[in-house]
Amino acid sequence: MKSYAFLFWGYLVVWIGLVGYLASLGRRMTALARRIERLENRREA
Amino acid sequence: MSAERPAPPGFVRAAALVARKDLAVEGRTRESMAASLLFALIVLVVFAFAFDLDFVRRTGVSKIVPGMLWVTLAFSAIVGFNRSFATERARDALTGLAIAPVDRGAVLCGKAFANLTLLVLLEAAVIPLTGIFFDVDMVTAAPPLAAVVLLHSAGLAQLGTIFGAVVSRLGRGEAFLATLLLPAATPLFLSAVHCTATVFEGSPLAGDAKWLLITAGLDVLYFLVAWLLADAILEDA
Amino acid sequence: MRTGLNRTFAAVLVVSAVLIGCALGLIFLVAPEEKVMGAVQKIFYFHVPIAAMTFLSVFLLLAGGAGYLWTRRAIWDHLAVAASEVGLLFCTLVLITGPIWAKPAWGVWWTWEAKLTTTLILWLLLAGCLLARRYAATPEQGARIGAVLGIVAALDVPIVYKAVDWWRGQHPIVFGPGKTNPLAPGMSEAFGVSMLAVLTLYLVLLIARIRLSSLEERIAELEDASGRFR
Repeated sequence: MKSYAFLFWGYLVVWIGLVGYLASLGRRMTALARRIERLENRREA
Repeated sequence: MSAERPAPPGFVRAAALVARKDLAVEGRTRESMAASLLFALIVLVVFAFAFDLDFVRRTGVSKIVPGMLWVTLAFSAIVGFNRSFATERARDALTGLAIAPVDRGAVLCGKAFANLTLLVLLEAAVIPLTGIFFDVDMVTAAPPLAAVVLLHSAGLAQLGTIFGAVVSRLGRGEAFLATLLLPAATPLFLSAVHCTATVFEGSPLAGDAKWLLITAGLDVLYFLVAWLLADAILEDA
Repeated sequence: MRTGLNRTFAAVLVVSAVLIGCALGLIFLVAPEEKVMGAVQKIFYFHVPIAAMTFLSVFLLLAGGAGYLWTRRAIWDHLAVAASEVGLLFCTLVLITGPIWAKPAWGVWWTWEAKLTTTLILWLLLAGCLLARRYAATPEQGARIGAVLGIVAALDVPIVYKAVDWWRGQHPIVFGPGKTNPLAPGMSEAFGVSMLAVLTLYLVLLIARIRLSSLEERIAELEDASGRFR
Protein backbone atom coordinates (compact mmCIF):
# COMPACT_ATOMS: atom_id res chain seq x y z
CA MET A 1 0.00 0.00 0.00
CA LYS A 2 1.40 3.32 -1.05
CA SER A 3 0.32 4.91 2.20
CA TYR A 4 2.49 2.61 4.25
CA ALA A 5 5.56 3.32 2.13
CA PHE A 6 5.28 7.02 2.89
CA LEU A 7 4.70 6.30 6.56
CA PHE A 8 7.78 4.12 6.70
CA TRP A 9 10.03 6.71 5.05
CA GLY A 10 8.65 9.44 7.27
CA TYR A 11 9.44 7.60 10.47
CA LEU A 12 12.80 6.45 9.18
CA VAL A 13 13.89 10.00 8.41
CA VAL A 14 12.83 11.23 11.82
CA TRP A 15 14.63 8.52 13.70
CA ILE A 16 17.79 8.65 11.65
CA GLY A 17 17.87 12.40 12.13
CA LEU A 18 17.36 12.39 15.88
CA VAL A 19 19.49 9.38 16.73
CA GLY A 20 22.18 10.41 14.28
CA TYR A 21 22.44 13.85 15.85
CA LEU A 22 22.57 12.41 19.36
CA ALA A 23 25.29 9.98 18.28
CA SER A 24 27.34 12.71 16.63
CA LEU A 25 27.05 14.84 19.77
CA GLY A 26 28.17 11.89 21.86
CA ARG A 27 31.17 11.28 19.63
CA ARG A 28 32.24 14.92 19.67
CA MET A 29 31.85 15.09 23.42
CA THR A 30 33.93 12.02 24.15
CA ALA A 31 36.64 13.26 21.80
CA LEU A 32 36.72 16.63 23.56
CA ALA A 33 36.66 14.99 26.98
CA ARG A 34 39.68 12.91 26.02
CA ARG A 35 41.54 16.01 24.86
CA ILE A 36 40.69 17.82 28.07
CA GLU A 37 42.05 14.99 30.16
CA ARG A 38 45.24 14.93 28.14
CA LEU A 39 45.69 18.68 28.47
CA GLU A 40 44.96 18.63 32.18
CA ASN A 41 47.37 15.76 32.81
CA ARG A 42 50.03 17.54 30.85
CA ARG A 43 49.53 20.63 32.96
CA GLU A 44 49.84 18.77 36.22
CA ALA A 45 52.87 16.87 35.02
CA MET B 1 41.96 77.60 21.73
CA SER B 2 39.61 76.35 24.39
CA ALA B 3 41.04 73.70 26.71
CA GLU B 4 37.64 72.04 27.00
CA ARG B 5 36.52 69.39 24.48
CA PRO B 6 33.22 70.22 22.79
CA ALA B 7 30.25 68.13 23.90
CA PRO B 8 29.58 65.13 21.67
CA PRO B 9 26.76 65.68 19.20
CA GLY B 10 23.25 64.63 20.12
CA PHE B 11 21.45 61.77 18.42
CA VAL B 12 19.90 63.64 15.52
CA ARG B 13 22.98 65.71 14.79
CA ALA B 14 25.23 62.68 14.91
CA ALA B 15 22.98 60.72 12.61
CA ALA B 16 22.85 63.65 10.22
CA LEU B 17 26.65 63.91 10.22
CA VAL B 18 27.07 60.22 9.45
CA ALA B 19 24.45 60.36 6.70
CA ARG B 20 26.00 63.42 5.15
CA LYS B 21 29.45 61.83 5.20
CA ASP B 22 28.21 58.67 3.54
CA LEU B 23 26.31 60.55 0.88
CA ALA B 24 29.22 62.88 0.26
CA VAL B 25 31.57 59.95 -0.25
CA GLU B 26 29.10 58.34 -2.59
CA GLY B 27 28.47 61.60 -4.39
CA ARG B 28 32.13 61.94 -5.18
CA THR B 29 32.80 58.44 -6.42
CA ARG B 30 29.30 57.27 -7.40
CA GLU B 31 30.79 53.80 -7.13
CA SER B 32 27.93 52.18 -5.29
CA MET B 33 25.22 53.71 -7.47
CA ALA B 34 26.94 52.65 -10.66
CA ALA B 35 27.37 49.08 -9.48
CA SER B 36 23.79 48.66 -8.29
CA LEU B 37 22.27 50.39 -11.30
CA LEU B 38 24.21 48.26 -13.71
CA PHE B 39 23.24 45.15 -11.84
CA ALA B 40 19.57 46.18 -11.84
CA LEU B 41 19.69 46.65 -15.58
CA ILE B 42 21.15 43.22 -16.08
CA VAL B 43 18.52 41.63 -13.87
CA LEU B 44 15.75 43.35 -15.84
CA VAL B 45 17.21 42.04 -19.06
CA VAL B 46 17.39 38.52 -17.65
CA PHE B 47 13.74 38.83 -16.67
CA ALA B 48 12.90 39.96 -20.18
CA PHE B 49 14.44 36.74 -21.47
CA ALA B 50 12.71 34.69 -18.79
CA PHE B 51 9.26 36.16 -19.38
CA ASP B 52 8.92 37.80 -22.74
CA LEU B 53 6.80 40.85 -23.25
CA ASP B 54 4.00 39.03 -25.07
CA PHE B 55 3.61 36.59 -22.24
CA VAL B 56 3.54 39.45 -19.73
CA ARG B 57 0.86 41.28 -21.69
CA ARG B 58 -1.26 38.16 -22.05
CA THR B 59 -1.04 37.14 -18.42
CA GLY B 60 -1.65 40.65 -17.20
CA VAL B 61 0.97 43.20 -16.32
CA SER B 62 -0.10 43.54 -12.72
CA LYS B 63 0.40 39.83 -12.09
CA ILE B 64 4.05 39.57 -13.11
CA VAL B 65 5.73 42.96 -13.23
CA PRO B 66 5.43 43.84 -9.52
CA GLY B 67 7.27 40.65 -8.62
CA MET B 68 9.95 41.27 -11.21
CA LEU B 69 10.38 44.84 -10.09
CA TRP B 70 10.86 43.96 -6.45
CA VAL B 71 13.19 41.03 -7.15
CA THR B 72 15.31 43.40 -9.20
CA LEU B 73 15.25 46.04 -6.48
CA ALA B 74 16.00 43.53 -3.72
CA PHE B 75 19.12 42.19 -5.40
CA SER B 76 20.46 45.49 -6.63
CA ALA B 77 19.83 47.09 -3.23
CA ILE B 78 22.00 44.36 -1.74
CA VAL B 79 24.81 45.28 -4.09
CA GLY B 80 24.47 48.82 -2.77
CA PHE B 81 24.37 47.80 0.91
CA ASN B 82 27.45 45.68 0.54
CA ARG B 83 29.47 48.41 -1.05
CA SER B 84 28.37 50.97 1.51
CA PHE B 85 29.98 48.96 4.28
CA ALA B 86 32.85 47.66 2.20
CA THR B 87 34.47 51.05 1.81
CA GLU B 88 34.34 51.51 5.57
CA ARG B 89 36.02 48.19 6.20
CA ALA B 90 38.67 48.79 3.59
CA ARG B 91 39.93 51.88 5.27
CA ASP B 92 39.09 50.64 8.78
CA ALA B 93 36.86 53.63 9.12
CA LEU B 94 34.39 51.56 11.10
CA THR B 95 36.79 51.58 14.05
CA GLY B 96 36.77 55.33 13.96
CA LEU B 97 33.00 55.33 13.76
CA ALA B 98 32.57 52.83 16.55
CA ILE B 99 34.82 54.53 19.06
CA ALA B 100 33.60 58.02 18.32
CA PRO B 101 31.86 59.44 21.37
CA VAL B 102 28.42 59.28 19.85
CA ASP B 103 25.45 57.04 20.31
CA ARG B 104 26.04 54.02 18.09
CA GLY B 105 22.33 53.99 17.42
CA ALA B 106 22.81 57.37 15.79
CA VAL B 107 25.57 55.96 13.59
CA LEU B 108 23.32 53.17 12.34
CA CYS B 109 20.45 55.60 11.89
CA GLY B 110 22.62 57.88 9.78
CA LYS B 111 23.83 54.97 7.69
CA ALA B 112 20.28 53.72 7.21
CA PHE B 113 19.20 57.13 6.03
CA ALA B 114 22.06 57.30 3.56
CA ASN B 115 21.23 53.80 2.32
CA LEU B 116 17.59 54.80 1.93
CA THR B 117 18.52 57.87 -0.09
CA LEU B 118 20.70 55.85 -2.41
CA LEU B 119 18.01 53.21 -2.70
CA VAL B 120 15.42 55.81 -3.66
CA LEU B 121 17.76 57.20 -6.29
CA LEU B 122 18.23 53.70 -7.64
CA GLU B 123 14.49 53.19 -7.76
CA ALA B 124 14.01 56.49 -9.55
CA ALA B 125 15.99 54.94 -12.39
CA VAL B 126 14.85 51.33 -12.22
CA ILE B 127 11.11 51.92 -12.03
CA PRO B 128 10.80 53.96 -15.22
CA LEU B 129 13.06 51.45 -16.97
CA THR B 130 10.79 48.65 -15.89
CA GLY B 131 7.84 50.59 -17.25
CA ILE B 132 9.60 50.94 -20.57
CA PHE B 133 10.82 47.36 -20.85
CA PHE B 134 7.53 45.77 -19.87
CA ASP B 135 5.08 48.30 -21.25
CA VAL B 136 3.57 49.41 -17.98
CA ASP B 137 2.07 52.83 -17.55
CA MET B 138 3.90 54.22 -14.55
CA VAL B 139 2.86 57.82 -15.03
CA THR B 140 -0.81 57.75 -14.08
CA ALA B 141 -0.03 55.49 -11.18
CA ALA B 142 2.90 57.61 -10.04
CA PRO B 143 1.68 59.10 -6.73
CA PRO B 144 0.39 55.89 -5.09
CA LEU B 145 3.34 53.99 -6.58
CA ALA B 146 5.76 56.44 -5.07
CA ALA B 147 4.09 56.09 -1.68
CA VAL B 148 4.22 52.29 -1.79
CA VAL B 149 7.83 52.24 -2.94
CA LEU B 150 8.97 54.75 -0.35
CA LEU B 151 7.22 53.00 2.52
CA HIS B 152 8.71 49.62 1.69
CA SER B 153 12.13 50.99 0.81
CA ALA B 154 12.41 52.49 4.29
CA GLY B 155 12.05 49.06 5.84
CA LEU B 156 14.35 47.45 3.30
CA ALA B 157 17.05 50.05 3.85
CA GLN B 158 16.82 49.67 7.62
CA LEU B 159 17.08 45.88 7.48
CA GLY B 160 19.83 46.12 4.89
CA THR B 161 21.78 48.42 7.19
CA ILE B 162 21.43 46.09 10.17
CA PHE B 163 22.48 43.01 8.27
CA GLY B 164 25.08 44.91 6.28
CA ALA B 165 26.72 46.09 9.48
CA VAL B 166 26.71 42.59 10.95
CA VAL B 167 28.04 41.00 7.80
CA SER B 168 30.78 43.56 7.28
CA ARG B 169 32.53 42.19 10.33
CA LEU B 170 32.76 38.69 9.01
CA GLY B 171 35.53 37.62 6.71
CA ARG B 172 34.22 37.36 3.14
CA GLY B 173 30.91 38.42 4.59
CA GLU B 174 29.61 40.10 1.47
CA ALA B 175 28.42 36.83 0.01
CA PHE B 176 26.22 36.40 3.01
CA LEU B 177 24.17 39.50 2.93
CA ALA B 178 21.57 38.19 0.50
CA THR B 179 21.32 34.89 2.38
CA LEU B 180 20.63 36.66 5.66
CA LEU B 181 18.62 39.62 4.47
CA LEU B 182 16.12 38.12 2.07
CA PRO B 183 14.47 35.56 4.35
CA ALA B 184 14.15 38.20 7.05
CA ALA B 185 12.68 40.67 4.55
CA THR B 186 9.92 38.29 3.42
CA PRO B 187 7.05 40.25 4.98
CA LEU B 188 8.24 43.48 3.36
CA PHE B 189 8.61 41.74 0.05
CA LEU B 190 5.15 40.17 0.14
CA SER B 191 3.57 43.46 1.06
CA ALA B 192 5.53 45.39 -1.57
CA VAL B 193 4.55 43.07 -4.39
CA HIS B 194 0.93 42.99 -3.31
CA CYS B 195 0.57 46.76 -2.98
CA THR B 196 2.43 47.43 -6.22
CA ALA B 197 0.08 45.04 -8.00
CA THR B 198 -2.87 46.96 -6.58
CA VAL B 199 -1.41 50.20 -7.91
CA PHE B 200 -0.81 48.75 -11.37
CA GLU B 201 -4.37 47.47 -11.52
CA GLY B 202 -5.58 50.95 -10.82
CA SER B 203 -7.43 49.91 -7.67
CA PRO B 204 -7.46 52.36 -4.79
CA LEU B 205 -4.69 51.86 -2.29
CA ALA B 206 -7.10 52.25 0.59
CA GLY B 207 -8.11 48.64 0.02
CA ASP B 208 -4.63 47.59 1.08
CA ALA B 209 -4.66 49.64 4.26
CA LYS B 210 -3.93 46.52 6.28
CA TRP B 211 -0.69 45.84 4.43
CA LEU B 212 0.39 49.48 4.44
CA LEU B 213 -0.19 49.89 8.15
CA ILE B 214 1.71 46.72 8.93
CA THR B 215 4.60 47.83 6.76
CA ALA B 216 4.68 51.18 8.49
CA GLY B 217 4.73 49.31 11.80
CA LEU B 218 7.57 47.11 10.57
CA ASP B 219 9.55 50.17 9.51
CA VAL B 220 9.28 51.49 13.04
CA LEU B 221 10.05 48.08 14.54
CA TYR B 222 13.18 47.60 12.45
CA PHE B 223 14.35 51.07 13.41
CA LEU B 224 13.87 50.28 17.10
CA VAL B 225 15.65 46.95 16.77
CA ALA B 226 18.58 48.66 15.05
CA TRP B 227 18.71 51.27 17.79
CA LEU B 228 18.56 48.70 20.60
CA LEU B 229 21.12 46.36 19.07
CA ALA B 230 23.43 49.06 17.71
CA ASP B 231 25.95 48.73 20.52
CA ALA B 232 26.27 45.01 20.01
CA ILE B 233 26.41 45.32 16.23
CA LEU B 234 29.06 48.04 16.09
CA GLU B 235 31.04 46.86 19.09
CA ASP B 236 34.27 45.80 17.53
CA ALA B 237 35.81 46.78 14.28
CA MET C 1 36.53 10.01 30.65
CA ARG C 2 34.44 12.81 31.98
CA THR C 3 31.99 14.36 29.61
CA GLY C 4 30.25 16.01 32.51
CA LEU C 5 26.95 14.35 31.70
CA ASN C 6 25.96 12.74 34.90
CA ARG C 7 23.43 10.26 36.20
CA THR C 8 20.54 12.69 35.98
CA PHE C 9 21.19 13.10 32.30
CA ALA C 10 21.36 9.35 31.80
CA ALA C 11 18.09 9.01 33.68
CA VAL C 12 16.38 11.58 31.47
CA LEU C 13 17.73 9.83 28.41
CA VAL C 14 16.26 6.54 29.60
CA VAL C 15 12.94 8.23 30.37
CA SER C 16 12.80 9.69 26.89
CA ALA C 17 13.56 6.32 25.34
CA VAL C 18 10.76 4.78 27.39
CA LEU C 19 8.34 7.53 26.39
CA ILE C 20 9.24 7.06 22.76
CA GLY C 21 8.61 3.36 23.08
CA CYS C 22 5.22 4.02 24.67
CA ALA C 23 4.36 6.56 22.03
CA LEU C 24 5.22 4.19 19.22
CA GLY C 25 3.19 1.49 20.87
CA LEU C 26 0.18 3.71 21.23
CA ILE C 27 0.52 5.06 17.72
CA PHE C 28 0.72 1.74 15.98
CA LEU C 29 -1.18 -0.59 18.24
CA VAL C 30 -3.87 1.51 19.90
CA ALA C 31 -4.71 4.57 17.85
CA PRO C 32 -7.20 3.88 15.10
CA GLU C 33 -6.38 4.53 11.49
CA GLU C 34 -7.74 7.80 10.19
CA LYS C 35 -10.72 7.49 7.86
CA VAL C 36 -9.75 9.76 5.04
CA MET C 37 -5.98 9.80 4.93
CA GLY C 38 -5.24 6.25 5.96
CA ALA C 39 -2.11 5.03 7.62
CA VAL C 40 0.08 7.91 6.53
CA GLN C 41 -1.77 10.21 8.92
CA LYS C 42 0.26 8.61 11.70
CA ILE C 43 3.19 10.78 10.73
CA PHE C 44 1.21 13.59 12.37
CA TYR C 45 1.96 12.14 15.82
CA PHE C 46 5.59 13.15 15.41
CA HIS C 47 5.33 15.89 12.82
CA VAL C 48 3.32 18.20 15.07
CA PRO C 49 5.42 17.79 18.25
CA ILE C 50 8.61 18.26 16.21
CA ALA C 51 7.15 21.44 14.74
CA ALA C 52 6.25 22.62 18.24
CA MET C 53 9.83 22.04 19.40
CA THR C 54 11.08 24.04 16.44
CA PHE C 55 9.10 27.02 17.64
CA LEU C 56 10.27 26.45 21.20
CA SER C 57 13.80 26.68 19.78
CA VAL C 58 13.03 30.09 18.35
CA PHE C 59 11.96 31.29 21.76
CA LEU C 60 15.07 29.82 23.41
CA LEU C 61 17.24 31.42 20.74
CA LEU C 62 15.69 34.78 21.52
CA ALA C 63 16.28 34.24 25.24
CA GLY C 64 19.85 33.07 24.71
CA GLY C 65 20.74 35.92 22.38
CA ALA C 66 19.20 38.58 24.60
CA GLY C 67 20.69 37.00 27.71
CA TYR C 68 24.15 36.97 26.18
CA LEU C 69 24.02 40.58 25.01
CA TRP C 70 22.70 41.60 28.42
CA THR C 71 25.05 39.68 30.69
CA ARG C 72 27.92 38.64 28.36
CA ARG C 73 28.05 35.33 30.19
CA ALA C 74 28.95 32.34 28.07
CA ILE C 75 26.11 30.13 29.26
CA TRP C 76 23.61 32.28 27.37
CA ASP C 77 25.64 31.92 24.19
CA HIS C 78 25.72 28.16 24.73
CA LEU C 79 21.93 28.24 24.94
CA ALA C 80 21.67 30.30 21.77
CA VAL C 81 23.96 27.98 19.81
CA ALA C 82 22.22 24.85 21.08
CA ALA C 83 18.79 26.31 20.29
CA SER C 84 19.97 27.23 16.79
CA GLU C 85 21.49 23.86 16.04
CA VAL C 86 18.88 21.60 17.56
CA GLY C 87 16.22 23.93 16.19
CA LEU C 88 17.70 23.62 12.71
CA LEU C 89 17.68 19.84 13.01
CA PHE C 90 14.05 19.76 14.12
CA CYS C 91 13.13 22.28 11.43
CA THR C 92 14.73 20.03 8.82
CA LEU C 93 12.71 17.09 10.11
CA VAL C 94 9.49 19.11 9.90
CA LEU C 95 10.26 20.12 6.33
CA ILE C 96 10.90 16.50 5.38
CA THR C 97 7.99 14.86 7.18
CA GLY C 98 5.58 17.57 6.05
CA PRO C 99 5.84 16.82 2.33
CA ILE C 100 5.98 13.09 3.04
CA TRP C 101 2.59 13.48 4.69
CA ALA C 102 1.29 16.01 2.20
CA LYS C 103 1.85 14.01 -0.95
CA PRO C 104 -0.50 11.11 -0.17
CA ALA C 105 -2.84 13.33 1.85
CA TRP C 106 -3.29 16.35 -0.44
CA GLY C 107 -1.70 15.17 -3.65
CA VAL C 108 1.12 17.73 -3.73
CA TRP C 109 4.55 17.74 -2.12
CA TRP C 110 4.47 21.40 -1.28
CA THR C 111 2.20 24.43 -1.14
CA TRP C 112 3.09 27.99 -0.25
CA GLU C 113 0.73 28.26 2.66
CA ALA C 114 1.52 30.04 5.91
CA LYS C 115 2.91 27.31 8.17
CA LEU C 116 5.02 25.60 5.54
CA THR C 117 6.43 28.83 4.14
CA THR C 118 7.23 30.23 7.57
CA THR C 119 9.00 27.00 8.50
CA LEU C 120 11.07 27.23 5.34
CA ILE C 121 11.99 30.85 6.06
CA LEU C 122 12.84 29.86 9.63
CA TRP C 123 15.12 27.15 8.28
CA LEU C 124 16.92 29.72 6.15
CA LEU C 125 17.25 32.14 9.07
CA LEU C 126 18.63 29.48 11.42
CA ALA C 127 21.04 28.20 8.80
CA GLY C 128 22.17 31.78 8.20
CA CYS C 129 22.80 32.34 11.92
CA LEU C 130 24.90 29.21 12.22
CA LEU C 131 26.81 29.89 9.03
CA ALA C 132 27.60 33.47 10.06
CA ARG C 133 29.06 32.24 13.37
CA ARG C 134 31.58 30.14 11.49
CA TYR C 135 32.96 33.15 9.66
CA ALA C 136 33.57 35.15 12.80
CA ALA C 137 37.14 36.10 13.61
CA THR C 138 36.99 35.30 17.33
CA PRO C 139 34.63 33.29 19.53
CA GLU C 140 33.45 36.48 21.23
CA GLN C 141 32.59 38.06 17.91
CA GLY C 142 30.84 34.87 16.85
CA ALA C 143 28.81 34.88 20.03
CA ARG C 144 27.86 38.51 19.60
CA ILE C 145 26.94 38.23 15.94
CA GLY C 146 25.08 34.99 16.60
CA ALA C 147 23.12 36.72 19.34
CA VAL C 148 22.19 39.70 17.14
CA LEU C 149 21.17 37.52 14.20
CA GLY C 150 19.31 35.16 16.51
CA ILE C 151 17.31 37.99 18.05
CA VAL C 152 16.41 39.45 14.67
CA ALA C 153 15.45 36.02 13.33
CA ALA C 154 13.32 35.20 16.36
CA LEU C 155 11.48 38.52 16.17
CA ASP C 156 10.94 38.10 12.48
CA VAL C 157 9.31 34.65 12.60
CA PRO C 158 5.89 35.70 13.90
CA ILE C 159 5.88 38.62 11.48
CA VAL C 160 6.65 36.33 8.56
CA TYR C 161 3.90 33.98 9.66
CA LYS C 162 1.28 36.69 9.78
CA ALA C 163 2.37 38.13 6.45
CA VAL C 164 2.25 34.81 4.62
CA ASP C 165 -1.02 33.97 6.33
CA TRP C 166 -2.66 37.04 4.86
CA TRP C 167 -1.15 36.23 1.56
CA ARG C 168 -2.62 32.69 1.62
CA GLY C 169 -3.76 29.92 4.00
CA GLN C 170 -4.56 26.23 3.70
CA HIS C 171 -2.86 24.05 6.37
CA PRO C 172 -5.25 21.59 7.99
CA ILE C 173 -6.14 23.08 11.31
CA VAL C 174 -6.58 20.28 13.77
CA PHE C 175 -6.56 22.22 17.03
CA GLY C 176 -8.14 25.62 16.82
CA PRO C 177 -10.08 28.01 18.98
CA GLY C 178 -13.64 26.95 19.45
CA LYS C 179 -13.18 23.53 17.91
CA THR C 180 -14.16 20.51 19.89
CA ASN C 181 -11.43 17.92 20.06
CA PRO C 182 -11.47 16.43 16.57
CA LEU C 183 -9.28 13.48 17.44
CA ALA C 184 -10.96 10.15 17.90
CA PRO C 185 -10.43 8.46 21.27
CA GLY C 186 -7.18 6.55 21.21
CA MET C 187 -5.64 9.26 19.09
CA SER C 188 -5.53 11.85 21.86
CA GLU C 189 -3.53 9.64 24.18
CA ALA C 190 -1.09 8.70 21.45
CA PHE C 191 -0.67 12.35 20.56
CA GLY C 192 -0.16 13.41 24.17
CA VAL C 193 2.46 10.78 24.82
CA SER C 194 4.23 11.59 21.55
CA MET C 195 4.33 15.24 22.49
CA LEU C 196 5.86 14.41 25.84
CA ALA C 197 8.33 12.01 24.26
CA VAL C 198 9.51 14.54 21.69
CA LEU C 199 9.76 17.26 24.33
CA THR C 200 11.95 15.07 26.53
CA LEU C 201 14.13 14.07 23.61
CA TYR C 202 14.46 17.70 22.60
CA LEU C 203 15.63 18.61 26.10
CA VAL C 204 18.11 15.75 26.03
CA LEU C 205 19.62 17.03 22.79
CA LEU C 206 19.59 20.63 23.97
CA ILE C 207 21.38 19.84 27.23
CA ALA C 208 23.91 17.62 25.47
CA ARG C 209 24.65 20.38 22.95
CA ILE C 210 25.07 22.96 25.72
CA ARG C 211 27.42 20.57 27.47
CA LEU C 212 29.41 20.24 24.26
CA SER C 213 29.83 24.03 24.14
CA SER C 214 31.05 24.01 27.74
CA LEU C 215 33.63 21.38 26.86
CA GLU C 216 34.81 23.48 23.92
CA GLU C 217 35.10 26.45 26.23
CA ARG C 218 37.20 24.43 28.66
CA ILE C 219 39.53 23.33 25.87
CA ALA C 220 40.00 26.94 24.80
CA GLU C 221 40.88 27.87 28.40
CA LEU C 222 43.39 25.05 28.68
CA GLU C 223 45.00 25.79 25.35
CA ASP C 224 45.29 29.46 26.17
CA ALA C 225 46.82 28.68 29.55
CA SER C 226 49.33 26.16 28.27
CA GLY C 227 50.36 28.72 25.70
CA ARG C 228 51.48 26.10 23.23
CA PHE C 229 48.53 26.05 20.87
CA ARG C 230 47.32 29.44 19.52
